[in-house]
Amino acid sequence: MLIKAMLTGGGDYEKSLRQRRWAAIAMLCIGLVGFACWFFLVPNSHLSEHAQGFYLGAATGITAGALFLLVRTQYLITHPQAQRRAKIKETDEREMQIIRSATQIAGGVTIFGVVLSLFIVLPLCMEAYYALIGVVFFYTAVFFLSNLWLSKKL
Amino acid sequence: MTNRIAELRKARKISQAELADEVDVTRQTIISLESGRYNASLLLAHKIAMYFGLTIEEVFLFEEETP
Repeated sequence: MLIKAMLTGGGDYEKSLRQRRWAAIAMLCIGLVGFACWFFLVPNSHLSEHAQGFYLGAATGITAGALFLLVRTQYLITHPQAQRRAKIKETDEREMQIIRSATQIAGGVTIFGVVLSLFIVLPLCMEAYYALIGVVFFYTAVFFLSNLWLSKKL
Repeated sequence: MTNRIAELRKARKISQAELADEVDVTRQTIISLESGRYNASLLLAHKIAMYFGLTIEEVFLFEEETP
């Protein structure tokens, strides 16, 4: 969804689809590298079962997502009627506004949740506290940097 | 802002799906425009006005706020 959102826009939808296909291939490579690591490196490592499971789960999820995106994008590139329908759906201004608003709401609610969690996590686990405070700083930095960039761009 | 999309569409006997197809948006967007829940961008307003052969002001009615 994120790749679709990032690579949709501008006037040339067919170019977006070709970029999306490359993104799917790159994602597929990451998934396959994950599988290779899980198969060749992880069994000889001292990773816990939990961490080993993460490799398999992440590799499976990324590979499945990449394959789905690749097949769908290839289908859209080769079927003009389906491509037109998808273009209308993906570039429809109301749909895009809905996605933008939903993203804003999700971001806002998440950061409020993170700040709230800081108070609960601090007495329980310092590592989790540092991770959460890192998220808050990252969010703030990204917000100010994107604000600065958009102020110059628009 | 209100608009005359539904009135103009019915006068020309075209469906919401047909209008949506002509101006490259989804039928749901036309439904939202007609019901006044969504305001069109300048680009979409221009496309719709062009489709009906009218100006933007003839299709979209801007109401000035009274102090």
